[in-house]
Amino acid sequence: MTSIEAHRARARFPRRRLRASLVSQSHSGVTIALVMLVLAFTHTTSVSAGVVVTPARLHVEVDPHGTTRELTVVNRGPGKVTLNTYVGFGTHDLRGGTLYHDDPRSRNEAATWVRVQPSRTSLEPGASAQIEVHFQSVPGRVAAYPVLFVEPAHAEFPQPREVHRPTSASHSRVRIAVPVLATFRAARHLQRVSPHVRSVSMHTVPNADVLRASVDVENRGTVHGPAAVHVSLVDERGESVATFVSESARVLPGAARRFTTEWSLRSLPQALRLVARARDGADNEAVPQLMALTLPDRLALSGRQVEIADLQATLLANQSLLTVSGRLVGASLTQTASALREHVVVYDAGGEELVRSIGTGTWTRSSRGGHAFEHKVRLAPDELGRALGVGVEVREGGVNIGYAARTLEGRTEPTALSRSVR
Amino acid sequence: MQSVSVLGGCVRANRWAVGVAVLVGVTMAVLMGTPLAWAATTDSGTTTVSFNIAEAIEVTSWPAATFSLADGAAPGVAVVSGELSIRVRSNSEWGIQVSAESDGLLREYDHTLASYVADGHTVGPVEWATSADGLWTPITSVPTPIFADQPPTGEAGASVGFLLRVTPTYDHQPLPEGREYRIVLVYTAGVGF
Repeated sequence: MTSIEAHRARARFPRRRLRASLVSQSHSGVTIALVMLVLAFTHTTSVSAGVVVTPARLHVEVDPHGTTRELTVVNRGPGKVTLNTYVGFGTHDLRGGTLYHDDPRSRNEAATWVRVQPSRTSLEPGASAQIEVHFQSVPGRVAAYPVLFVEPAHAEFPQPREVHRPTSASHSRVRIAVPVLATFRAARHLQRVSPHVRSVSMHTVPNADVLRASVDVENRGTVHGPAAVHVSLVDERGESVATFVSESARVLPGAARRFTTEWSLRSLPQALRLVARARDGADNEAVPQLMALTLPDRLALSGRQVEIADLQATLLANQSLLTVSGRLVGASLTQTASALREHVVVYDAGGEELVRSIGTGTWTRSSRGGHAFEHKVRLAPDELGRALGVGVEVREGGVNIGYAARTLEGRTEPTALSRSVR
Repeated sequence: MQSVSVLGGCVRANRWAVGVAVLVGVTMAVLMGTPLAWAATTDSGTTTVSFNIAEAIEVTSWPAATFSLADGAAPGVAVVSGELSIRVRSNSEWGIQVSAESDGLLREYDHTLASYVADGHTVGPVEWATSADGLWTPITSVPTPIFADQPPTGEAGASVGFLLRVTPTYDHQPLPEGREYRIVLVYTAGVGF
C-alpha cells in the first residue's frame, strides 16, 4: 500500500475521536456561565506528496510579438498526480503577503493574454514535465501581475467517506502559486516607480519603553520597483534626534508596503515631530511627507499602560466630520476602566493642537481583544482645511498611559517644517 | 665553393646550435616540471563556470482532502479541529494563504445529489488560528495569509500548523441523513511578488 493509499484508508475509516471539555461554573446563584470547548481531534491527517514547481516566480519582459516561458513541474510523491494550471492575478498587502485574485472575472481577463499549455498534466511518481506559458503583448499596458496556479486535481485526493448521519466536513484543495512580474517592452519608456508616503502612524507599547512608528508607502508609478523610507524624529527646534533608514522592499504599482521601526521612549524629548520620506531604488527622495505629533506630558512609562491598536482616522470632508476609531488593549483596562478617559486630539501640519475631544469612557468589547472605541469629531471649516494628524491619549488621573497618532487617510502633505529639518 | 663550404659550415653550426637549444629547453622543461606546464595551460585559455539556482517551491504534505469536523456538535460549544499541517520546501521566502470556495460558511450538502442544496442551511463562520488560545479569524472567499514571510526552509523543509473552529448556535439546524454541512477550503502556497 502506498503512502497515499494508506491515507485514503484512514480517511474512510477515521480513528477514534478524542474530546475534551472544560466546564466552568460561577457560583453567583443567578448566572451560570457554561463555557465548553470541544477539541474534536478528527482525522486531520495529512497527505504525503511532493509537487515541485520551478521557477517559483517569473520575471518576464513581454516582446511585442509575445514571449514564452516554461514552468517545470516534478512529482516527487509516491503516487500519480494530475496538475491543473490556470491563471489569475495578484498584488500584495502592506506586509508583502500576496493577495490572489482568482475569481472567474480575473481568470477570464488573465486568459485573454496569458496562455498555458498544457493546462492539465499527469505525472507518474518521479516524472517531470514542462508547462509552456505564453504571454501576449497588451497594447497600452506597462506592467501586469498575473499569477499561475498549479493545483493537483481534486480527484487525486482521498475521497469523502460514506456519510450516513448528519455531520460537518471540511474539504481541502491545495495549490502552488507562481507570481509573474510582467513588463511590456513596447511600453518600456513609460516605466516609472514612484513611492509616496500614504500614511504614518505611531503608538507607545505598554511596559516596553517603546515608541513604534509605521510608515505606509505606496507606489504611484506604472511598474514594480524597490521603495524604502527615511524617518526622522525632530525636536521643537527642528533638530533631528533619531533617524531610521529602512531596507528597500519591492512594491507593485497601486499597492503599498509598511515599514516599521521602534525607538526607546525614555531617550526622546517630549515635543516630537516625525518626518517620513519615501525613496525609490535609486535613492531619489520623493517630496518629504510629514507626520507631526507632540508626545503628551507626563507619559507614564511603566505600570498600567494601555496600547491603542488599529487607530483609524477617516475624514468625511463633505460633512466636516472626523471619525476616529481603535482598540484599547491592556491588562489594567478592566480594573480601572472607570477612571480612564481617551482624549482625541486633532493636529495641523506643524503639530499644533486644533481640537481636543474627551471621551466618555464608554467602550465595547472587541472580538479582536480589548475594547473598541469610536469618536466623531466635528471640525470647523478652517480646522478642516488644516487637519493633518490625529492623536489619541488615554489618561488616568492626568497621566497619559497610552498614546497613538496617525495621519488622516489621504492627507499627508509637504510642509514648511519638513523642509526645515536639518 | 669556399663560401659555400663556409656557408655549409655555418648551416651545420646553426643546426647544431638549434639542436642544443632545443635540448636545453626540453631539459629545463623536464626539470621545472609541472609549474611550467601549468603556466602554459593558464596562459592558453580560461573556463568560467557559471551557475545559479532557480527559485523553487515544493509542497510535501497537506491536510487530507476531507475530514469531519463534528458529527453531533452542540449549540454554543465551539468545535475546534486537531492541528492541520502543511509542509513546504522552498529556497525563497514563502507563505500560505487560506480561502473558502463559498463565503466562509458551511453549507448544506446532499450526498445523494452530490451537490449543495439550493437555499439550504448554513453554519459558520469557519475560523482559523495558529493556536487554540490565539486570535481566531473568519475564513472568507478572499485568500488570507495565515503564514507570511516565512524564511527559506532548507533541505529539511518546514511544517506549519493551524486550527479550524466552528461555533454552532440554536439558529443552526440538524440535518437529515444523507446530508452534511460542508465547506471547501483552498490553501495556496507561494513565494510572493
